[in-house]
Amino acid sequence: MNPLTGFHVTVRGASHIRHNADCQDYSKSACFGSAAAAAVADGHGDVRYFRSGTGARFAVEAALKSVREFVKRENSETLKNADEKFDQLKKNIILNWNRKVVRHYSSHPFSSEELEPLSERRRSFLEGGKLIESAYGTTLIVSAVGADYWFGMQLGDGDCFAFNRDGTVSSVPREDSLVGNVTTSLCESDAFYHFHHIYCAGSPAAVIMSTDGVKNSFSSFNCYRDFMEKIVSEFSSSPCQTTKKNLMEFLSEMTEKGSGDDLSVAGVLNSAY
Amino acid sequence: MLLLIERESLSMSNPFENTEGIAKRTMVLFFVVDTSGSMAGKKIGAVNDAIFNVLPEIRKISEDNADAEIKIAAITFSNGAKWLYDEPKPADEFSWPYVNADGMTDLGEAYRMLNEKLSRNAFMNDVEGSYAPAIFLMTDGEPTDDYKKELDRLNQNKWFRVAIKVAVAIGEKDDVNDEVLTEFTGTPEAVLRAHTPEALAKMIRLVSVTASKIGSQSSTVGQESRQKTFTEELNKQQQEWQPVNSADDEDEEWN
Repeated sequence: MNPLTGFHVTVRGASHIRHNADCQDYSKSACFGSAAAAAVADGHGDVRYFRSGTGARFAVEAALKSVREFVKRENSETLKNADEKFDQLKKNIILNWNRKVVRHYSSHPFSSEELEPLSERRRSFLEGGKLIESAYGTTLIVSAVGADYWFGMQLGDGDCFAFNRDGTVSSVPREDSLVGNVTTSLCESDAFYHFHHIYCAGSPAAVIMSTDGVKNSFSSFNCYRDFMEKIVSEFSSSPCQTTKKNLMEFLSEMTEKGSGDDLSVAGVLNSAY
Repeated sequence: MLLLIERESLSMSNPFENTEGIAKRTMVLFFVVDTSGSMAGKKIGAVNDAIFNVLPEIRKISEDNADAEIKIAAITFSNGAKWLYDEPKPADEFSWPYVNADGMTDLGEAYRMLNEKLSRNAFMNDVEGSYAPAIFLMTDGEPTDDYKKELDRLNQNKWFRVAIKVAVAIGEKDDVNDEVLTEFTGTPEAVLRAHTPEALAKMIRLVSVTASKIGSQSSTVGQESRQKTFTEELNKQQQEWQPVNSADDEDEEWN
């Protein structure tokens, strides 16, 4: 029996509810044979990224599809010192996301209502079929855990880390430049260069990730990390559906008191530890 | 009744309920004000009045924004520089003390002190995901110290790089070196010129309100994007009151 299970939760932000805006976060988890994976994405809120909720869904779907193929053919032996394989995985995810975007745009061209709030310059670009992917702009975090390894990949803001069996924590490296409300995006032409990853041998107790709205609801990183640890602890000790329900209820309250943003949390738990 | 009890007991049993440290995000608006001798008289009077009068509007924007709190920090510079408060104050606790003008124009010292406070260990320590700040420089003259060295250092500061930056030149073209202000904002589009006290009051209001609104909006892509959104909005707003500004040409001038 596979000891790995995934979980994912997304709630619509209090600010999005107040402004009658769609949820622009998306999350999903899945088991692939002896491995499991989870992903979260956060579509950008600005008016320029008016299809970012769809872009976030495409990002998670594209990532899990590419990761599924990747974990099928790789193992801890082939992944040792294999940065070029992770670089290829990043390129595959970006390519799959762009394909989904182009396909969606082809069957759903931008409407005049969607273009109306944009600046004249941006509108003329989009009407001319240029920069269409910018309308779908989103961040992405994806992680997979195998029998004796884990990896995490991240583009843009949010956080992803693993709680190891020895009590230490490993995390996907973040870009130094991401301070304040500034992020990098899948929609940028240099997205590949902003896509970071971590690979670790050995299976962790759990991997957990969240979109930036979760961390932005806390006064300090330590409070945020304590909360993430609590989530892992609850999923490990209580029935999954009960914990998921409790977490969703709590996140709905938290967005009201905190960042107001959409909130997503996802991860992979290892019941072997 | 039973439903109510069930709901209450469910809510009581939620293990996440005691989570600590939940807080709203913060956006800090920095006023960087020249109080050198050349500002004495009408100029500093107009700055004092305008900042005092715009505070209620900033407080209202902060109150109306359910997702972010706006805080204000202010530094004045003449012979050296000094912070008005030792930390950013919530908009409803910040009061402007009506400053006097005298001495030199030590802009470099103001940059040095700004750089020191634009840090997670100083003024940007509020909430983990603080918004990028908005920094508003008001001056009427040439710096008298080595401001370039300190500006170079400031430009290395991550918070400064992502900040909304805007400058108002107080006075005529011959008096204020626009280049110095463009070096600060990174773009001439974010440098405004106030020819009269009335225009200055309007600009301080316009910049403060626009920066507070744009600065406390959700995530944006790329470091220059927020500055661009801000300058676009600023230019749009400026065009709207330009006819009134033209009439101001007949208003009282600085001298």
